[in-house]
Amino acid sequence: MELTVELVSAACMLAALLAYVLLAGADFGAGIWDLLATGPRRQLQRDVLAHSVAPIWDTNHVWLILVVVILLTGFPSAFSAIMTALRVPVTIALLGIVARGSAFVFRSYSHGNASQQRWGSLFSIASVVTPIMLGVVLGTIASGALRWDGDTYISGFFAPWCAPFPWAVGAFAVAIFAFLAATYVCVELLGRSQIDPAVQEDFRRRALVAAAAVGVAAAVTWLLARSGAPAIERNLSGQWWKWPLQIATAAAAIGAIASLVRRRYVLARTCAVIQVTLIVGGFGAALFPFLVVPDFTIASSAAPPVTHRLLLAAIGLGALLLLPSLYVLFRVFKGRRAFAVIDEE
Amino acid sequence: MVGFGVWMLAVGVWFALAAWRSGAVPIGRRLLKTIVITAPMGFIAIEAGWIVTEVGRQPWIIYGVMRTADAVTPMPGLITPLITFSLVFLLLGTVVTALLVQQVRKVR
Repeated sequence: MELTVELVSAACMLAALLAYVLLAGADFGAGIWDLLATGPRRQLQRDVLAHSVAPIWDTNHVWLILVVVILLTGFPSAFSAIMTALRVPVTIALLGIVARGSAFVFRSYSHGNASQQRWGSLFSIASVVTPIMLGVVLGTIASGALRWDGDTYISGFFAPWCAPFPWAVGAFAVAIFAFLAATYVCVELLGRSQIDPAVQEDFRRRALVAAAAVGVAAAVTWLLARSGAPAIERNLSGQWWKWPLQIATAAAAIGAIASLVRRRYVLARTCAVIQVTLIVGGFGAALFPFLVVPDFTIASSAAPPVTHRLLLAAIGLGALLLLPSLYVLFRVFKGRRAFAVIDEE
Repeated sequence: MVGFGVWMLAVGVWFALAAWRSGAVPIGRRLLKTIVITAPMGFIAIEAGWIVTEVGRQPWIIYGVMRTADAVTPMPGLITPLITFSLVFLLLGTVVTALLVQQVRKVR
């Protein structure tokens, strides 16, 4: 395999997707737990969730924008295929993102319980629908059902994504986002003695349930991939890294669960981040060399090398500005545990 | 659009001069009334600017390179997203207006 500029761009795109899943994913997860808030501490749970996401969730969308911009600039024909043939799920995801953002703001500015509840439910429903649709899009491009004959999208605008495999990936995304959110909130509540410690226990239980849901969703997606994404299945079967990757992911998952059981929340978060990194990385590796199976590969849909060189220069310069800003943002709003890896004794 | 721009610039200068002369935030009735009239002009100028570039460029989507007719998506039923997005904008606009009115009432 030769290292080409378009390969570097594709790697940047995968890294941005990973950052989006790890950061914005948790914000979607907060909305999911807002929908599922139950018990006597329901309102307190919602307040904690809103407080956790409020300072950062707008910023976290920068990663999705980066994914879309790299795809548009670097791989225009693959961009065109995804945005045209998957117009329906992409539009629903877009509407969900808009509804979520505005409902969150409207909720905090509106008076009266009734209208706050109305915006609250729009926020939380959009938080479930959007990740499902994003997962459906990723599932469809991996499935091989989206077909382009060089002139038209012969598979139509509904058939490719109205299949079990894309929806399984959608459910997988929801489970991952809920798992990340619950784990992050447990860390968030460390050392906050003014908040009822029972809330932390609520989220610990939620994180454990979500961890189990991630396992189930992963297994279902895996089983459905045989018929639902045969190219991916074939692609994976001959690779030496298939089993090491599976074992490492499972080990991270077990590590996260064990840490949650022992209330070592920072370590649990570290394991969860490793687990999700391996899942997203595994998805990218399984998809390689395709962007949209089977008609668009990284090489076949790539813009001319000069475009990629300019794109990479722009990403590099942008990173010089963005990464320190993000560091400060998280350090200010998330405190000294923002980048901690293991629990303090 | 250009007229509004010059007008807003002039009102800005007027305000600055009045503030500099009085050494405080100016509260002259004529100036305040003018500012109220000027308030929506920025929005109108922005919209006018968009209309100039978008409508003025037709029939090209990228001037001299690609026609709008050649750029349109092959997807049928484009009326559905048009109606959907129009409704979304209408709804968001209504809610923002209602919330602003509510905020102003609360202050008074």
